[in-house]
Amino acid sequence: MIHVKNLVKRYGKLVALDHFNLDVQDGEIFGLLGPNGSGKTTAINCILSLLTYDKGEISLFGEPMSPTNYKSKKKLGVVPQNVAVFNELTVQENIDYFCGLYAPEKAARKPLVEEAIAFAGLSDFRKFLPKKLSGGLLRRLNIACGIAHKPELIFLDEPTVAVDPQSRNSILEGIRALNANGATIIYTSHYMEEVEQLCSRIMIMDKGRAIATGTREELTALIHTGEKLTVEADGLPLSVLEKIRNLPDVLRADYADGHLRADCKGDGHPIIDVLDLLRQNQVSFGQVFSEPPTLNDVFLEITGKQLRD
Amino acid sequence: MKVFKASLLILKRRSVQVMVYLGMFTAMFIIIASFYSEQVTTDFSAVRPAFTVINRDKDTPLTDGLMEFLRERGTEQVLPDEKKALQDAAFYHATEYILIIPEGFDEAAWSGSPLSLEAVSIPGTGKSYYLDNLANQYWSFVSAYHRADPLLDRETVSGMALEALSKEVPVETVRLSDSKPVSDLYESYNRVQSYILMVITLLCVSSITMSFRRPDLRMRNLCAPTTARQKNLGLFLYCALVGFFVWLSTSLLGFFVSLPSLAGADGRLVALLFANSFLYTLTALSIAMLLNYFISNPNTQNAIANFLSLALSFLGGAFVPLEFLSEGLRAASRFTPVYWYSQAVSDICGLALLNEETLAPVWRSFAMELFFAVAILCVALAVGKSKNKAEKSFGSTRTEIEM
Repeated sequence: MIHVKNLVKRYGKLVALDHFNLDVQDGEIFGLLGPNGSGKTTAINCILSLLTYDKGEISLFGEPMSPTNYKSKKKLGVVPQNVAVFNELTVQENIDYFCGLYAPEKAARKPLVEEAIAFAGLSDFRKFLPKKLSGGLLRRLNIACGIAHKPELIFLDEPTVAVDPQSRNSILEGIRALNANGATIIYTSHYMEEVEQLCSRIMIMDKGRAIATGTREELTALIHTGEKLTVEADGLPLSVLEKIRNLPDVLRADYADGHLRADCKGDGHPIIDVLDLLRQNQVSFGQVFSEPPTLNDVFLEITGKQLRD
Repeated sequence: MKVFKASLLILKRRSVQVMVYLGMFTAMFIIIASFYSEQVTTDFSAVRPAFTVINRDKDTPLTDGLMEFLRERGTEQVLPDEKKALQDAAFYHATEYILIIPEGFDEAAWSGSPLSLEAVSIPGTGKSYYLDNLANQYWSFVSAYHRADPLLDRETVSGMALEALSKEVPVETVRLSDSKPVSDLYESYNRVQSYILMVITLLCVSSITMSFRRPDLRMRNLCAPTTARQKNLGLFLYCALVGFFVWLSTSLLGFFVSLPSLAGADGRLVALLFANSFLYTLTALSIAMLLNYFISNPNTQNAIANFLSLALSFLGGAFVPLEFLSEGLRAASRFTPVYWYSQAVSDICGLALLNEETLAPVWRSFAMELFFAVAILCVALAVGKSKNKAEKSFGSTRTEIEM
């Protein structure tokens, strides 16, 4: 559905996209994950022909993408990062306007608009002007304006920025529903939890480059870090900590604020060994947590920095 | 058509400020119109003011001639040559003008170095001035004839002066048309209309372009499968419709409020004034198209619309006649469309006869207004093109700059 090959985009001397490649298949929810400034939005804008680029090829639905490729544009839905709606139009008028750019016939458009209003949960607010809506409702309106015409391919650019948890869950549910109805989704975010929950495939970006692509499992398998152990332990002696560090499946271990934290090697499960060591050395311990590796760990191991740095 | 319909909806939501301007303007004009009274022009007849001549010189043909001349135009009031009697007569307006011919005046005048005549004028009346003028005219003619031919005697010179002064130029008032000229009230309205046309057009157009030029909305619109031509057509239709309604409403407002004063006026002049304001609306639309690239929020919108409309109207003579402006400002005003608009209003309202020759200045002003409209539109298109080129990479959109 989307094919991007060796895309290069420069802003003066700054390379925003550095030989960027992307392939998205029908029916996927594809996540573009990266810190602010990694080139996610630039990539999307190049794909949408909103930006010119210096080098590379972009094709959508098997056709080269250009600003005048209206055939492909007709199948696209775009939800920009900022809430891009007319402040002077009501909720219904805004959705009707943006839907009308894709579906000019009023008769065909009317049910689409109604469906989008219901989908976004804005039925009670249809006559409201955007300034009367809360942040979460505004975001939902932003999404409704982008999906009302039932596009085959939807670009969602950080749609949950500055949204309360309840609205965020509602938005994520909506995105899953769109996908279930057959839409392919490109989802950009710097919230790894969202991407982990939502996306079938994920691309991690940094400095304009794709540093890793795959399913969540494929990505975590790329790194040496395995599960992460956290153990509540009182007064852990340094000698015991050293012994834990020397366990064969432990990559690194630290003790602070009454908590022992240990990163384990890929397939290793040293929890029994760690707890045995504590017991043998008469260190009392409380709750024990074990977490699988996250995308942040993947990013950390590959780039040496946190996703939210 | 979505762009067109959305534009109308946006205007509807932002119509309050336009209505405020239009309402205030309408109220102001109705108040002015209620105080207006039609000027009536009537014939006049010369009055015969009372005068007194105190001749302290001897009676000569020259002084006799002067007396004869003044008696023809005024009524002589004989008074004794006494200071108190003269003061009383002047105080009680028994005489409007007292001329004292000093002793030796005749000889001095004949020798070419005349003595001054002593005249007592009554303050606050034009009659003294009128009689004083007559006396001076007489002595000017006498002096001129004497200098022209020094051999002529006093009697002949006086007779020649009286004959020359008795000649009158017959004036006949000819009405070229049965219709009355356009009233001052309607002329004034047409001048000030340039301001309201400009300010409302600027507000209506910029209210829409301001929204559509918002980077995030522009980006969203660009993603849609609507061609640039379709979007521009929608905006063009909106501008055309708004321009037409602003022109029609302001023109009809002036027409109907001034209607009583327009009774009997030539309908063709009113039509020409309508055409003039229509051409000016085109210029206002062009200016609005140009300014939309520089108006990004409601604050700048109001500031620019007001400043530009007031400045242009002032400079073009809409509020103050151009004659009251300095030379530099008058020269500068020729480079504004309002100048040609006001010029056309003056020319049209001054027309008594409509033919090719009398209409030529009107057509010239119309052509200048059209020229301004086209030239400013071309500049607007060029600015738009260069702005679009500059934004080719959408670099100004905050959301898109991540790097």
